[in-house]
Amino acid sequence: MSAPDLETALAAYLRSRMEQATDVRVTGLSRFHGGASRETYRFVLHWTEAGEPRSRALILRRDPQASLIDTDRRMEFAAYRTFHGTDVPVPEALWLEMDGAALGSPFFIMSEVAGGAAASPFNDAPYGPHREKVGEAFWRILGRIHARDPGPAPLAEIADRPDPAHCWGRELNHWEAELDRDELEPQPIVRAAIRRLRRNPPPPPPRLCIVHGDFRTGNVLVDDEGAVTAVLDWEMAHLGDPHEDLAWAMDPLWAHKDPARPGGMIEIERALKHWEAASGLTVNTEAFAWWRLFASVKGMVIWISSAKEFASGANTDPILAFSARYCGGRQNQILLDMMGY
Amino acid sequence: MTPAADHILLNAIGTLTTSVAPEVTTPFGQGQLGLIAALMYFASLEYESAADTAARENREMRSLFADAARTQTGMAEEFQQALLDAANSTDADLCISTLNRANTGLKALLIRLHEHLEGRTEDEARTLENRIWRFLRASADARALSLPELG
Repeated sequence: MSAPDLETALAAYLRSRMEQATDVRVTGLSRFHGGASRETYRFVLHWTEAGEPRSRALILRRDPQASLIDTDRRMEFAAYRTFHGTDVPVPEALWLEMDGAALGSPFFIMSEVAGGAAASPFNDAPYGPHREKVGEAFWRILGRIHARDPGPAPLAEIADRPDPAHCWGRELNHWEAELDRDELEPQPIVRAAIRRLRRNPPPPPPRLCIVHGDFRTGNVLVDDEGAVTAVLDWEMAHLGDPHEDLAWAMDPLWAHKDPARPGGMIEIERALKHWEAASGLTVNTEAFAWWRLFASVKGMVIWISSAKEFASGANTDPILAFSARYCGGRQNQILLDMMGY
Repeated sequence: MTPAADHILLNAIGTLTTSVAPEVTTPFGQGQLGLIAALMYFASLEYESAADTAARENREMRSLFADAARTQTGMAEEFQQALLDAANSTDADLCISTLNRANTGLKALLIRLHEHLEGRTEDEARTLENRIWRFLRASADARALSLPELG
């Protein structure tokens, strides 16, 4: 669907959903770069309501024909609904469509958060003089996510609720199954890591938490003053062990020059202290070590899946080839570092 | 043959970034162009080293399998035979596709051997396992791609 066609179809869809509105128009549709799991566009919605002209900056997230990872768009939508209006800044989720009739593939629409940009893991000093401020906020927000009681949350209505003792096995089984399905060539390093993880399971968490699943600086918007304005990309959210999120955010891949300062922010020990203060939980060092190796396994499987998507022709976005070759190559080194080789 | 493929790719990157990029007006297009340039850079690196990396790995794995078949006991006959057959195999030519095909088969067997050796306490098993870890380290380091320093 071309950009003009998408803009037309989007306006038609919104017209059908906004019963109280007239003169519904869409302008300025433009695509964000990056993120092969969803196509992300910004646009401005214009309409008239009760005689008054109105407009709002919105974001469209649409599935590509083949997605990088199998994720549930309902989960991402529910995650935004769970945290909107709380002390975890997220956009307002507005419309979700599970079929492709309106725009060619499933999609959802949310508000655009004004101000803020995501950091690149290839930037040595992404936050400049605001590194300390961003670091504290980043880890405290993660703690607040984990502090949230998942019981009454919209996300919990659709998420599986594993026994805490089974969190590790559920996640490892999922990603090993993805690896079995998607590897195009044998992967001796990640297979060795999986065997090691299975031989040494972690202690269970004291309780289930909402796990973002992809919490890292690339999915957090920060404005020019160092304020975190939004946490995005909740498509891998689930209920599980909070150490999973801590470990993922601290994977050395996301701080390519200085792994001692995850995401180019503050040192690991201080990061964990902020997280503990905000979450009310205590880091279990044995569990954390397990989830750190798991995080690199998960990353490696994602890069392997991106290789398959690209090689099959299902999705030829160059971000997939870049992820497969650069990130995959680096992740193998990280896996070996973590295993002591 | 001149110009060589890596030279062509690097020259094309220069053309993309200096002549084409200024014509691309959207952030999405500029981002895609940057990624494509990075991928071309990676291809230029691999033009030089990919065949050598695969050939070296194939040689080392065959040596590992020969030693494993000779020193390890208690393995299934089929497995031992597979190790011997792999140890005695050769690369039909030096085309990268041929080398990679062999590399894939050898790595599948390497995973089996690695799993077999884990947890064993005999000296020969420990020596072989350490050798596998050193092989994996060398392989990962040889295959990792670096981003160009942007000045």
